[in-house]
Amino acid sequence: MAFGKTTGARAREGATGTRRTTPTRARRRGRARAVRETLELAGALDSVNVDLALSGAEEILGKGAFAATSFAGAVFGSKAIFTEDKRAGRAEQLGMYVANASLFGSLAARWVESGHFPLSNMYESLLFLAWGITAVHLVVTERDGFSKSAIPGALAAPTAALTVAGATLALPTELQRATALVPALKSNWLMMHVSVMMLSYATLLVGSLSCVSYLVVDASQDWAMAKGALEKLDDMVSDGGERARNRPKVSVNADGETVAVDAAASTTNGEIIVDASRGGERILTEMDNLAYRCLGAGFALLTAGLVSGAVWANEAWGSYWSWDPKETWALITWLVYATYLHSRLVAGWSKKDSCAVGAAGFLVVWVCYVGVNLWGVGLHSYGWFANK
Amino acid sequence: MRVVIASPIAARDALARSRCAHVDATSTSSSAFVPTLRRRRASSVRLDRGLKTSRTTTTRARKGSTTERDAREAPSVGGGSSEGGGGAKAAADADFTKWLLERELPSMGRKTMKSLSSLPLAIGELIVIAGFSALGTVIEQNKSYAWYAENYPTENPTFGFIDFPLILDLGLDHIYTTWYFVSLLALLGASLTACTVTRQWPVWKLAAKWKFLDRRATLLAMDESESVPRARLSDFSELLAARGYQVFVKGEKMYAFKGLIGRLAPIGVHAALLFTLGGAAYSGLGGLSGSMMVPDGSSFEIGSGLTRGSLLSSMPGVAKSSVQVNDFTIDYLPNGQVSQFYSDLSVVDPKGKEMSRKTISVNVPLRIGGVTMYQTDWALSSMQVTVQKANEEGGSGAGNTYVLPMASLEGKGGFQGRIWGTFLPVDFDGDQRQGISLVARDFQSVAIYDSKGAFVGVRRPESKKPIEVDGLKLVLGDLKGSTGLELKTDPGVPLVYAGFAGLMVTSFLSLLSHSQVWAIQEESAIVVGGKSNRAKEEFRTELDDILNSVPEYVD
Repeated sequence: MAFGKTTGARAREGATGTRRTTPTRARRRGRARAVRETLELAGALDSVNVDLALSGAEEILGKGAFAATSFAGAVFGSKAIFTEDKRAGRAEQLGMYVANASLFGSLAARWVESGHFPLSNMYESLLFLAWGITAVHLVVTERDGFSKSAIPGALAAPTAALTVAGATLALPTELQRATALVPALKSNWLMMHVSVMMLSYATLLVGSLSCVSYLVVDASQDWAMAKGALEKLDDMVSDGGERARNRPKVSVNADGETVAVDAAASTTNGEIIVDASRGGERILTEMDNLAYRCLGAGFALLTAGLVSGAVWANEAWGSYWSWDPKETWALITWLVYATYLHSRLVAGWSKKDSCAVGAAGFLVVWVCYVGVNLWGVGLHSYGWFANK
Repeated sequence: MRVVIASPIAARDALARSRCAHVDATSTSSSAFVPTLRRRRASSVRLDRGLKTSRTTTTRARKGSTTERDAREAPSVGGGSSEGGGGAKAAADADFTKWLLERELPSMGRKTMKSLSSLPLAIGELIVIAGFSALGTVIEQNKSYAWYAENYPTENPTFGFIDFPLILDLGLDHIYTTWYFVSLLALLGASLTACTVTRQWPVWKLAAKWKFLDRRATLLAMDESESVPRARLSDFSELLAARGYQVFVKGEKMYAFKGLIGRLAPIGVHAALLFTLGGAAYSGLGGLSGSMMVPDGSSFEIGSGLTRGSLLSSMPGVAKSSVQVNDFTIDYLPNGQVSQFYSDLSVVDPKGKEMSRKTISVNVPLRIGGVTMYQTDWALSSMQVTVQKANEEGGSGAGNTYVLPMASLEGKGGFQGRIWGTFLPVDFDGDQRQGISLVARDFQSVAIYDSKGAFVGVRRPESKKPIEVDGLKLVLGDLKGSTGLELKTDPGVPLVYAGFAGLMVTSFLSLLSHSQVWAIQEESAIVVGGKSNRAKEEFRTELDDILNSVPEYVD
């Protein structure tokens, strides 16, 4: 197929291209490779299953996503628990990229197949949630100033894997099929409200998992065995506790102009700053920062989701708030995370207490997302178990 | 030099007592000491600041209490001496009024404001509201007395104590409208207002002010700090400006900031929430609503549909107009699933003139004169049947045509889901208890049962294909539906929507981190100190990057 050929050619170009060794370059190459491999996979799938329907591709992509997240989860987890090298490596990160891309592909195929935004039943929304979790994980681990340790991945990847498993294995096949939209969902608000809601769930789940990891690290600090490992992890994260300045060298010539000086010719070396934090404090700060940033973003998204839901409800049902169980639980989620955000401002509360609130939010989000629909009550029971 | 703290517990208490976390974060310590480790230094600065705050608050509190005590004594002394004459009594009353208005009430107001704006109280309110809301989703709301009696029997209480008298006495069957839940929401609103006035307003005022700092120790005591040798302030300023910072330079001193809106946006979030809560209260007090089931082809007066409302709500001007249901249809997909419900409505004024006509559907309501009509429900209302004796021969026009009203059978006699039925007596002159049952779930097909209850067959309405039952030949005619409309007036919507719009914008702006950087030139070196309120790690990386690209002047 033409599609496969072009990606292959690009892959060869990449292989013969100049090799650089700076970390950003390596990361970019890793990213490019991930994209390339996914495209190749998609191309290969296309050529093998030319006559296979889109639903077949969906199934394979779903299974691929499960395999990729399980693999990433296993590697992240074993790195975080057993190995001395606790830093996240490229392999498991690549696994997350593959999972993200195949989930995206699966949802895109479904969109083409059904003709409407793929968020109309539980299967689709679970896949979207898994996609969101992998996406948020990739954003927070690939961004400067965010976590580089294996701990967030060790929690996020299994969560994504279980979500995909729940969608593809636990749900009966008739609920996995793409169906036509029920009248109440026929609105442009569907895309706005549901996608924002799902993204907020994903962001909040990753943030809450960071809270959980904070509590785990904090608890294991009292444990003498873990202490040594934590210090090692600390060293990994904070580059051995030392930051070396490598500033551009310049000098002022006789005319008052500033000219660059060749660094090799200069005798001064980079200044070394010693960072004195020890004993897991660095990783705790990092986890706390990760949780705060994720939960802040998730809270804003949840606010947007609630507002769009209320406006839609006012258009469709005649009331912007009707204490329907689903919206009530969304409000409860909102209140719990509002508590988390405010608890950090109270002078007497420790970070540990705040993180306990954030970690409790993990359960609340799941109750809101799945629990309410399992009860099968209220106005939000579309495409779920209890369809009246 | 190290700051010596008498007792760490006292210091922690002092921190806890310091009233406003935001203000603390913006104020800077000016204590002078040379630290050894950056992190430890930072914590001792916080403690030191906490101690100072506590000292000032306690002195202020002591002053306040003495003046209050003096003031309280004053009118009672006046009252004691006033027993002699009426003039003195009037003066004492005036004293008392003056005391009440000028001292007691403002001080009470201040105290109330202060306790309302307490963060632990606000957190408590959030948790309690969340708890009651959750309770309302566990116990089904707005069911009948019999329903609760059946599901929460007194003989076998849930968890040993939850039975139906308890649920009904506490109003747990309509928890979201009980006085205590509404009071909790009102309390949250009061807390929000108090917090906005006493905590956030000062932040606004403080954030607008900024100052240059010129003490090396102050700069080095910040979250991120460094002394960079062989560097120039001008290079550093340019690099900061290139990263989007607002930079101010005065001689050897520099101040730079970005993301100030991130510090102000939470004020906007609270204000928007107040708008939303206020709008919701106005909706609850001034709004009217009601639901109607209107058979296809009939009409109703708008006012008669607006049955629910409080004493404060008033009827809209269009209440005397009526609504005519011209047509009600359901669109089905090929697989039999409902695609959409449509009601063709005309609004007719009392004089009989059509004011407006619109086909509404779910998601497309009709709005007129402050009243909104939504498509929410439907039912089958009547069925047309042409009856002919089976042995009689005749054309399609022969036989008697009846319009039979249909009734909902949902939940009766073990019927599951939405289902309607009607009954046609076999013999109108004789025993009317014997007859044919016609049952339908929707407009697509009707199931026919004979007088003994045996299933005979299924026909589509208007199919013209007769079916023989109990010696009668039936031809099904038009199946008519009723449209379920929800009517509503809601004067609070503009306020609520204004709050929503504010929330959407400010909650995202609140994610921005307010980063501040101070620097001074000290001979050939620059001393840099900086802090950020949210993205501390990102700020650290950013400042690190910037400092790495500050040119180093070599000779």
